[in-house]
Amino acid sequence: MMLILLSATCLFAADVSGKITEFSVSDMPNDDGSGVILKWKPLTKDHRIIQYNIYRGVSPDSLFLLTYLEVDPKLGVLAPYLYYYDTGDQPLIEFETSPMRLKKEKHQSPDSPIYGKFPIDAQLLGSVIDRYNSFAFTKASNIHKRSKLVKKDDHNYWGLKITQTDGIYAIPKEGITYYYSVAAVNERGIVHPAADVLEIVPQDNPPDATAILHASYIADTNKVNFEWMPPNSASDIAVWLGWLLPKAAMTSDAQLPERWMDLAMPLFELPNMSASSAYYHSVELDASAYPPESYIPVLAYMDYAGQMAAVPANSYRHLTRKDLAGIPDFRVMDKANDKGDNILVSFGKPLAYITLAEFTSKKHNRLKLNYEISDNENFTVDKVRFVFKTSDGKLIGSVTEKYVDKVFQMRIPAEFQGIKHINAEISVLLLKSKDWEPETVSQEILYNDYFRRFQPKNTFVNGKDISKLFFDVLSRSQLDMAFANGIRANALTRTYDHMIPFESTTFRPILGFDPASSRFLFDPRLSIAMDSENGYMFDAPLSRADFQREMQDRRDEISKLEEALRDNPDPENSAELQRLKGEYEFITKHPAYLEAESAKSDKAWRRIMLSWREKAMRTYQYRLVATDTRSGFMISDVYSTEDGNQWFYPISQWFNKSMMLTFFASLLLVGLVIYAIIITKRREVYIRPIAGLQEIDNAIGRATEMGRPVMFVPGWGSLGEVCTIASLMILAQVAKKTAEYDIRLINPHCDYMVLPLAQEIISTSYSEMGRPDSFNQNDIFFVSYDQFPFCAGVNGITVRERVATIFYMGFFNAEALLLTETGNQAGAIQIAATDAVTQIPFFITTCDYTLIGEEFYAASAYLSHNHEMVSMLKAQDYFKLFIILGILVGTILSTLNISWFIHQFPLE
Amino acid sequence: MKKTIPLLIVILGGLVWVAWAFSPHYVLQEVFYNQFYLPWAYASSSFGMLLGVISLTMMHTNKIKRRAPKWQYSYFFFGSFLITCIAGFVGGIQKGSLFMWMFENVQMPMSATMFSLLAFYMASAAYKAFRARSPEATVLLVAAIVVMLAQVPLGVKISRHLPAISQWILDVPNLASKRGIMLGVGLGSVATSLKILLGIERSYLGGD
Repeated sequence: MMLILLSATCLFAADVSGKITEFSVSDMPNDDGSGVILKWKPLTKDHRIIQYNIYRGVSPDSLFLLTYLEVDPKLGVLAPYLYYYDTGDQPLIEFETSPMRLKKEKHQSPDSPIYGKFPIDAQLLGSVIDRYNSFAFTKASNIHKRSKLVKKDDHNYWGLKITQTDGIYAIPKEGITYYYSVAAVNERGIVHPAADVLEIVPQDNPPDATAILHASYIADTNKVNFEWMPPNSASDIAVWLGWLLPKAAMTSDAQLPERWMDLAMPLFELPNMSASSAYYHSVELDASAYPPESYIPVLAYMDYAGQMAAVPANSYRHLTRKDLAGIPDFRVMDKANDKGDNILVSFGKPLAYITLAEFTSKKHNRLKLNYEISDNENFTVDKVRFVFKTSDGKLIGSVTEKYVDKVFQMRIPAEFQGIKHINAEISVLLLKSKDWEPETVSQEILYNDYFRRFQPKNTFVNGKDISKLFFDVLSRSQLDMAFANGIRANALTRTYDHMIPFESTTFRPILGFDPASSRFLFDPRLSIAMDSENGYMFDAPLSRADFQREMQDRRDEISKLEEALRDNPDPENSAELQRLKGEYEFITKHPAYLEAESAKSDKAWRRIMLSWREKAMRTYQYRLVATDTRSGFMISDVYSTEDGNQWFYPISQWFNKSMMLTFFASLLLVGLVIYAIIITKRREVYIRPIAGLQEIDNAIGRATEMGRPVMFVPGWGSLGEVCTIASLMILAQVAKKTAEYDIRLINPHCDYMVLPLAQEIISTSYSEMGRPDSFNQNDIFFVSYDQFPFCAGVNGITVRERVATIFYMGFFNAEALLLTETGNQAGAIQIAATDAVTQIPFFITTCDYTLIGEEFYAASAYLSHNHEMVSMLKAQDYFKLFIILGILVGTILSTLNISWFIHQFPLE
Repeated sequence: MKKTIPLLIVILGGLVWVAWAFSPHYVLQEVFYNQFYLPWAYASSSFGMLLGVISLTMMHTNKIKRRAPKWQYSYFFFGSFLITCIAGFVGGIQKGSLFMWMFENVQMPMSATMFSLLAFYMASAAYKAFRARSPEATVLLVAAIVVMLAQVPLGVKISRHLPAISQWILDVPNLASKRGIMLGVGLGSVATSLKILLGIERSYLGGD
């Protein structure tokens, strides 16, 4: 017993110190040598730990805070061990959070090697930069326009200061020794002693055999389709290799034999050009020589270090073309109404499908059905038709949804009451179309006794099971060698938005450091254009002089080769000459080159090159894959328009056409304002009396009689909100009255940006009334930016100052009732005005007068009696007449099933 | 000139925002809004906060000088302001710091207390509103009882139609009036913006 107690005490003592125990570091398997795994035993929850800090360094005497894992101090960590995977995805330096100077970590012993975050210190970073694969995250304009030319080891680089970057990422390198430690931080901010420093040398490991391969032999085209999902750490794969292996060579447990390559036949070799979630490849095969029933496809893959792994196909099917998923008609177009960062790939017209159905009556003779629309923004669904049948084809009923609100009810005829299996056929009618779309959705909807509702079981689009049909969009920019995958979408998907962002920030590898200029070095070259067919590349340095020198070097090299070929015709040299000449011609005939030639300055030259680069980077071509995910796929040709264009560049739109009606409505309102101004100049116009506004004079008069102050609370809104502006306009009128009656006006604020404007408005009002001496700036003050402290402050003032009249004008939240009830109890007259619909009932209940919604916005015009302002009210009334007319026409037309009118209005 | 130039600035600024609302173009959405306006707004916001602090300091100094009613509380303002500032600047604002401790144990309970008062005020407001003094108030009372009962299991026990009736009240008469108010609010805010944009409303510059 004593022994157990002693060991428990020892254990507890070790734990109480807060030092991490059982800390270990190991190399991440199957990667390219850029990953490290950290593992440690978390402290007990008694330590109230809020986070575990991870430290990393390249020498054992200085480890820097890399990142931290947050944990719940109350619960602690329930798992026996904590893990952290360092793959360099956390920034070493972040411009916004990293310190400027090197700082030791808090609460560590004087000889501790643990430091805080890596400082923004170029020389210190420069001393370790070659120990990592480093990248800078920076604005593209910093590289292109603000970098300086740095010469190092006979090479030109573009140099950036560390402060010109937003962050530096340092990814571990294979073969370099790194040191790690972990420390726990409790909720009081105390950093417990760090774990013993451990070292690790990450290694480039062979890829793992976890790729998933499916293959199919397509009999009538004599092709083998390979479709595979890549293994973990796929970014390290350099090349994919397809093979055919005799089935007889497989081991008894369906594994590859040891020297399988000696027995297999190579089919293809494909460089891994881009990271994808799925890959597709087709190769021709002579079935008579390699009968599918006797062979099995194998996928091998090799990393950049030449290490290999291989997997046999999970399935090898024998198919014909008609078994393959068909390519739908698809179109590629610029996305409408965007800022120029999207291309739209449209697979088909909208579809409707049922998501849920349930009986709404006890007799099970009424059914409520919910449905969804697979939208395509190029088309508007006008009507949806549902035809319901029994499993043996008897018609149950049909419903045509004329207003597409995604829910409808249907009466079940008596003979089908209690039915549990319904087949639905759904088709849509598009706006401006006379015929129902031929593409139909068929669904089997089955009743689930447990959930007491119908759920769709199988869904077919034009007879094809959607669970076996997927689309993949492949795209390639003008600077890409190969097509990359977009996103795999199911057959109900109608469009794919290909996001093509502007190059505002860039992630660039750091090639070195120049201590003399304290600049980090970057590749000075820019890819301008590419001829993927011939493999020609047009890339240029950022300096015109360097580019001209390079072009001269090209010409010299061509001349030299021509001379050499004249003396000694060598086929290798001849091919090289042809390549050089082709590339030279490609560059010199390129519009970017021709346009840049005429540039008058180096800056103009660079601007032209950058604009052509931007165009090439953001110009794409597309292919579509339709697949059953098990290699039964078809890949379309590159999409081209009727005029043969295959390249698509997203265009930034100047006008959002979906807001056309809003724009015309605004113009109409402006027109009505002008008309109303003319009318109000000619004659007096009637304004409906608003009790709350008529009472302002009386309320201020009452305060004057009582000798108590008036308070104006402008609400919770910021200066960017119209209600706050409207509130300040009323404040100007109220201030004039208080100045006239020489009564104190208190004006508390919760927004410090509104405060100076209110002070200025009140000051001007007092001056205009000839009472600048009565203006007291200290009565217009800031209380708190937080809701309830502001509320408490205002309530305190109401009670202490015994305010006689209170105006609540602006936007209010939950504090509305707290404020007005206090005012009510203090016996103040309260006039409220807000556009916050949820608070209006509280104001009505507790205030003497309340301006509802638009009355609030009309108040300043009402109080000023200025004819231009009054004309605005009239214009609003005229506009309301148009709205009422619109509602009436819309209601009548919709009742008559004429829906084009309501479709003209935007939903939001 | 004293008013014309500010007016022109407001009108030009307003027109830029109108263009921003109707145009998705890169120049307006990215260059103007994300690259120019947002950083500028963030930068100016901290100066605005300084204005707020100066205003509070001036008001409380004045209160102490004038020996205004309850002027002693102003010392609490200065005391708590200084302690919070020092705690934040010296110890940081992260979890576990004195600043955060004060926030969690002083500010948050006080705010929660204020918020909890709402329940009592709401009951008192409901009492005032639901007194059946007129036919309209009776309709309000009945509607409120139906909606409130439908929110609790007891409502369904009384009648299984209660939730449907409650939903109808919320979806039809309630939503109709709400939309009416919102339509007016929307139109009013557009009209106010237009008044400023067309230079009809100039009270923010002083004068009519």
